[in-house]
Amino acid sequence: MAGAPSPAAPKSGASSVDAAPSAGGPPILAVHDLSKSFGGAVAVDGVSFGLAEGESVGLVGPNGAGKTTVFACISGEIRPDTGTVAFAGRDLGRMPTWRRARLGIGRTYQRVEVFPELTVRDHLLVADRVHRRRTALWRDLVNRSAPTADELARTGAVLEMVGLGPVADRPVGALGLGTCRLVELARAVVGRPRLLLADEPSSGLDELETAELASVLRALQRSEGMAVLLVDHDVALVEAVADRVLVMDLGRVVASGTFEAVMAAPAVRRAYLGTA
Amino acid sequence: MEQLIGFAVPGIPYGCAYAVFAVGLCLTYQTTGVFNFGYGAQAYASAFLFGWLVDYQGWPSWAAFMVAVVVLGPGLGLVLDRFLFRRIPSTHTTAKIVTGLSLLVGIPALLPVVFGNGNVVGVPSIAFNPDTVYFHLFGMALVPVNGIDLSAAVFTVAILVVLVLLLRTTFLGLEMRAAVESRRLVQLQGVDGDRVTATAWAMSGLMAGLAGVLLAPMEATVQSQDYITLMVAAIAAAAWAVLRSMPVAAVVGVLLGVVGVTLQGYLPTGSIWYSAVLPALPFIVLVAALLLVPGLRRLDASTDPLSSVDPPPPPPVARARAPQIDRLVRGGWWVLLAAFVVSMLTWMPRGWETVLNQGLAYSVIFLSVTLLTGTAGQLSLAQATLAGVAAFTAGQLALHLGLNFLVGGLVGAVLAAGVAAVLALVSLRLRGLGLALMTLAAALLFGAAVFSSSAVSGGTGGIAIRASWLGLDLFAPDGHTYFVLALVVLAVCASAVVLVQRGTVGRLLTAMRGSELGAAGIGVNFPFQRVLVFALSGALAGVGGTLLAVQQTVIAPGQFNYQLSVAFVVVVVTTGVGSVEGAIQAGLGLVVIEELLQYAPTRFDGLAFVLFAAGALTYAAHPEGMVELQKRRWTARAERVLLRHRSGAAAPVPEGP
Amino acid sequence: MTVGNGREDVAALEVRGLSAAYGPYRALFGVSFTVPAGGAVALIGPNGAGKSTVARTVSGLVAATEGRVVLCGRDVTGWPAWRIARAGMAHVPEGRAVFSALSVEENLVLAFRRRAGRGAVGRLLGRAYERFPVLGERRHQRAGTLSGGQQRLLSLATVLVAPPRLVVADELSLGLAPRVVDDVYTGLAELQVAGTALVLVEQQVERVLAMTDQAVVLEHGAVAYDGPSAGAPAALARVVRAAGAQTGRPGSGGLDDEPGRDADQPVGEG
Repeated sequence: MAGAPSPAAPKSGASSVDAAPSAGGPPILAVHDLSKSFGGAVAVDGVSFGLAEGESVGLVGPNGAGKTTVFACISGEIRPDTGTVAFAGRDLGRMPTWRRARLGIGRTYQRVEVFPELTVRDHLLVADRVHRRRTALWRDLVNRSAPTADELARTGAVLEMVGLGPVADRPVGALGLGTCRLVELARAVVGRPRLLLADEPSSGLDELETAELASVLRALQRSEGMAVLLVDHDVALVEAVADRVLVMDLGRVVASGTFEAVMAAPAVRRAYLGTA
Repeated sequence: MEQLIGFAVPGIPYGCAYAVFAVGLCLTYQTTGVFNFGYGAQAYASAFLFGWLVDYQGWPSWAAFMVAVVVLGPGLGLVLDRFLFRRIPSTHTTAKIVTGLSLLVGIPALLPVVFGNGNVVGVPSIAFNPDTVYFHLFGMALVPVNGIDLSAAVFTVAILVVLVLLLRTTFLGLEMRAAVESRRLVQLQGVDGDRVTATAWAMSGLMAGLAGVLLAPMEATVQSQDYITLMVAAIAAAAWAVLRSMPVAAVVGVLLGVVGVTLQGYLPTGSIWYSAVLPALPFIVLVAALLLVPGLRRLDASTDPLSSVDPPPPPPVARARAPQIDRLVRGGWWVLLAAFVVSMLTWMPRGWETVLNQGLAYSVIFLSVTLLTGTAGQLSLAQATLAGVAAFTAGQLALHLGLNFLVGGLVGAVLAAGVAAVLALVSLRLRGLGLALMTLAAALLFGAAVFSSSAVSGGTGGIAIRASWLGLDLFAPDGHTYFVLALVVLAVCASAVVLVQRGTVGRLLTAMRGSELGAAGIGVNFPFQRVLVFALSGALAGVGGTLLAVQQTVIAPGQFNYQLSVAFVVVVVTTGVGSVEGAIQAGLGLVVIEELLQYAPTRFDGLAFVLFAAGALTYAAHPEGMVELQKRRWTARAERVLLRHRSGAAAPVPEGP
Repeated sequence: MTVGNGREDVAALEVRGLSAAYGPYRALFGVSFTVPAGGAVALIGPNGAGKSTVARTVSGLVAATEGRVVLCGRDVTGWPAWRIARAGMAHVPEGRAVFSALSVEENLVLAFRRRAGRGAVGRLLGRAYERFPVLGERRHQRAGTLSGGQQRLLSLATVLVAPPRLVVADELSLGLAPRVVDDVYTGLAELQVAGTALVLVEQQVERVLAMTDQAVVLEHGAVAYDGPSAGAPAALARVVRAAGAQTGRPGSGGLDDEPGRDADQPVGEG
């Protein structure tokens, strides 16, 4: 398969399942003992890990390993059976998705969730106003809803950074899948999240589009100091974006460490790549 | 005991009627994926044709039965499939609902136009003789079982058994259950999905026809009203079965009928329980189902894995107009408005001024549909009810406190907004069909329990509005005060809607309509926005309702029933649900067409609704509305003609690459 | 090619000048290629090139506007999808392709009944459960409650147990863990040994080219390359470069050179 990891990588990190943040800073995200079962089937079974401020972590694993469920628990779309999710030291408890978003958890979706009738710029404008709580009805009623110079500058900067400038005034419904993923990314970033959850961003993209997305993700993480939690099957994308990789299998974290170290671990190769 | 059974047995035909309709709704939903609001109308059509053939044409019942049930029932089902529902992508919930509602409005309005009469009297029973007492249950003298009881019970059990066996044990049933999930995927298994779906529709149509004819002898006259009310009550039973399990639907249906009639026997006739709660029983049961049955929250989560095979919606005919044309059109509108105002104030005959005034009031109510359905994408079948809440509030305040009716109307609008907000709050977890049913249930509850109470509505005659309640002299025979008032109110409301649509809230609503998940992901407070738009829409409906009440000089429950709400949606969807223009065209168009029909023979009275229903049937293909579509086409055509001429002459405008 | 059905002379699939559209949007422009009996053809190309559309048009889900589709010598152009399916073509669509409201067993019955006939259903069910014990264990479970990999297994099981003449598989590896992808490809290889011809639409190019002998590269709904698999990577690279040159937008920060820059970064970070 793609890019065989160097055999020289140290083994220590791979066997460790204590997935605490590697950097010394305070964790921006702390998942503790998370469990969730659907019907009788256990999807997530006592998962704990953390993300340091500004750290980029890839979450990989075979189908049914529970990655998507972990993701949904963090963003609040699913309520875990047991365990806690803390963001910036605060337990998120039963907080709904939209309030988590306002705290600074941005996300993109595996199946794009864009607003087809809005233009690219409007996506960013809406996100920006929601972020700054400037959505009161009275502003509309007294006709003070046109974008201000300030807002145009802010959204314009993000558009340029992501490379969406040329299509800024097109309705998103008319754009291709790769561009829609960039729109989602820009929409999430305009609110300056402290943590970005990216759910299979490469799914349905070809190699060129994936590479483009990887570079944008990496650049954003660097320039904005965002923490990124990335779920993807595309090994190359994870390698390009993640500082650290967590491997899940059967609802548990089975390995954590640098990309090379994790990919070299026999348990991971068996579970994920199918070769020992 | 004997008394209890004696009270309960007469409830069996009603219970069976609910059960038969509920089973039919479940069958249709489970095999076609459509919650067919038009089901009751289909049943009525068969019953009507049957009665008409027997009564007016002197046909023998068996021949009439063959034509009205065996031919018309499945035939109608096949037509609905072939020309309507097959063309709607399975994921397009709103289009399916709107199409069903158009049938509900259109079919009962169409029959009198075709046959010259809407009612048939004394339809014969095709099974047991309704007047014969066949036996006494358990030999109790108090419990006679007549032909109606017998045929209803036998028929209900028979169809239940046949349908359950068909769906669960035959390969055709398996094919149907598969085809409803994905008409495409089933084809890849070598199954002719279109044939299977057509079969399901034919079966559903046959069921509707059978139910219609068998239940016809229950009432003295075959009226569309009865069938539709019956069906709406049956929805409650179907809801408890999550629109799937037919045995559950049948049991709940029978219970509903039996309990209702039994309570009728026990409750004291003068009490509020008897007058308000009892008629609303099915609707209370429906609301309870919508609140308590979790499966109803996921009704629209149908996921055809191959839905991407359906062609994407056609690109809307250019909405953006060239600047020159835009100026022309805007200018045209101002000229039209000026001409309208001048005409109304000068030469317009009294009768027509009244008609157009009514149109202005309707336009304000319709603006509430524009905001809620067009901008927020939520279907509400309670807009007329909300209008009524405001009107009755104003009426009561004027009656008891002597408050100026217009001020009372504002209070009423606030109250209507509150009712709408509560409605939105309790149905926060419902989407699409679930929400439509919840609003329908609310409308029926208000109709059956609140508006019907004479303490609210002043009895069947309603509340007459007295001139003394109005500070302005709105009823002066030669005055134009009402017209000016209505025009100003409409202008204010229309501006508000435009501002909201163009503003942040409008963008948020558009975003939520596009993707709720995505909106939550950027921090949009979904519950708040939904409650807000419902409240705004309720307030608009309330203002419109008050205006309408003043214009009609009387407030009666019949002006604000659920059927009007349904008709409102159908009418606005036809002219264009996305824009303020659409609402105003709908308001004026409706009253003008109805007034023109006054000159036609009485059988054409319902033609306006037939026309609008026909327009709304195209919603799936043209969600922007029939009238709006034509306008855009003509604008585009005008653009081509005018601008070709111009661009040939003028130098090309330099354009950035 | 070792083919047991004695029809070596007739191609399993012949596509001639095929065009198709989704409503007003045209997606294919005169696509032609041939799959020899018992052969395997890879259908590759960038996103949006029309790979899935070719699969859907061939199997009748999308109507062809022009051109012909010939299945084992029989012209099936314009046939509805269900007739083509009965004629021996199995299209495994991308993504979740099971009936989630039906049980596992009902899914299998549905697939076997029309293709193999009423009498064969029992035998095929037995074979399916023998070969995929996990399906047997869950035969009464609703297919929607299976995991993504198991759902894919279910849709493949119908093909593997009752081999058709031609399998058109769309993005089989999409969203699957590498180990499951291995299983899937092993199954396909067995099918081919049994004499079934394959058309494989894939994003994972290396993988699919390793098991096919012929490849078709699509670009903007037209064939850019049709020949031995060995030559396909070069053709695909050309197509991707051309696409990159088109989407590289002036003034957008030069997206083209960023991947190159970025590829170095993790190493530097180490």
